[in-house]
Amino acid sequence: MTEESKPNIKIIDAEKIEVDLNFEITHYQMDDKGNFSHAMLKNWGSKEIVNNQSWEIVKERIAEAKEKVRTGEISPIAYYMEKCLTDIGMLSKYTGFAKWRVKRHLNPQHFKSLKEENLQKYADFFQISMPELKNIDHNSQGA
Amino acid sequence: MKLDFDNSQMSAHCESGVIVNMLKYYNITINEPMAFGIGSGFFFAHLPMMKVNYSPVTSFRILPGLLFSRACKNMGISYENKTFRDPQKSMDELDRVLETGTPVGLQVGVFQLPYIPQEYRMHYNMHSMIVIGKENNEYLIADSVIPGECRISHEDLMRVRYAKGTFAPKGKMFYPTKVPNEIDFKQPVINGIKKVCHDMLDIPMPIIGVKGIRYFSRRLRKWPTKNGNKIASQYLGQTILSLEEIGTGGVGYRYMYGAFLSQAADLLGREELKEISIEMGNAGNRWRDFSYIGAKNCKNRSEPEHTYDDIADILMDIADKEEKVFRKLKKIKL
Repeated sequence: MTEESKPNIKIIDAEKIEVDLNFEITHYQMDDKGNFSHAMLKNWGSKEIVNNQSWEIVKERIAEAKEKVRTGEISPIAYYMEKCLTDIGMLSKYTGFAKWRVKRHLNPQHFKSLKEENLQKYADFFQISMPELKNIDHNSQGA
Repeated sequence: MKLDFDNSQMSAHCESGVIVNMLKYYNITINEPMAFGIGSGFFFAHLPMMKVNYSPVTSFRILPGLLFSRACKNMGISYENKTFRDPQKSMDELDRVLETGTPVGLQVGVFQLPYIPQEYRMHYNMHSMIVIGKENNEYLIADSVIPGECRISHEDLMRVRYAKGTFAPKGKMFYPTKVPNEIDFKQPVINGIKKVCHDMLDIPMPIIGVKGIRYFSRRLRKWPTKNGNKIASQYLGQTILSLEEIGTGGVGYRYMYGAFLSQAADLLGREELKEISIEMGNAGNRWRDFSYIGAKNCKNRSEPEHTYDDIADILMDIADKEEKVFRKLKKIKL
């Protein structure tokens, strides 16, 4: 990996994320008499349900993308994009490609004809190696 | 070097927390609801054309940076507010200001911010924090949402200051240049209240203020027929998250603003403000109902427990309640 040259923090891996619901945030409250107070609270009522749903949706999107990559409908970039909680607009801004080019690169045909240096830009953003970018099952095969 | 900075005060919202902590450094004591009210951060806007997390954006506060500048203007504090095109220049300027013994506020993106838990690192570019010192290649950060002192390397700080996407911070930094020794809060509080009344009632756009809540209610009613139950539930979940969790102090600042109004009543010696603060709190209670009932629909996405009409009705009720509050506030001669 090319991490050594860049002191980077690790990018989010939404596929393997473990959501910690115990993060405390200051909350304000009002009692029956109309007095206001504040306290550090973990929960505001339905935290678990809503958070679970939002991560469930993310994981569904990733699984769907993974399936489509395997059947050859879209390129691996789409899978890594979902995995890092990124969309086409953000990807375009971080890699420097125009939006329409990123959209194009999601097509497997165009992905195959991409130059190494352009692939490297994606690999750098996703913080993965070249073989991983070309084959999403690279890690599981190697292990 | 490190400034003698007290960051033990925790806050619900990052930007009002920045104001509280920064003024404390200049020996002015102010609490979070007060900072939020004087900066008139209370707001509502529903932006269906803007998508975050594949869902439309609902905002409960004003644009990032505005809270600080409004609060400073109201309290008679001179301040500097800068953005930079060149990242290197922005870092040099940060060092220079830090050397003069001034804590510097920064707007940063959360996506690549190292000290925040992973699950909160969304593409969210409106986070504020204060730089309070530099040691070797590391900056010391006072973040009012994270307890304790945080450290971040030069490169990482540069990266988060130039995070990309909606509301990109563009290296924005802000710091007070001249702070009066003492501040009389009476006039700033009045100005703050008037500004919020204007924002909530008088901006001639259907997506903003009290009208915005009604607009949101109409949109929400159509979600299941237009997009299907699954998408509707996703949108609703995202709205509830931004209502309750993304640094709002609960129910989109409504309780916090109620706390401000009740403090303003004591400060100005006006009993009617106390009654209005309770009404504000009641509007907050209704927002809590909204999040509670809405969350039930998120349990099983394809089969909602409550109809979306019910939820939209709650929103209509909220809009009426808040309109009443601000009409009353506007009428009072302060």
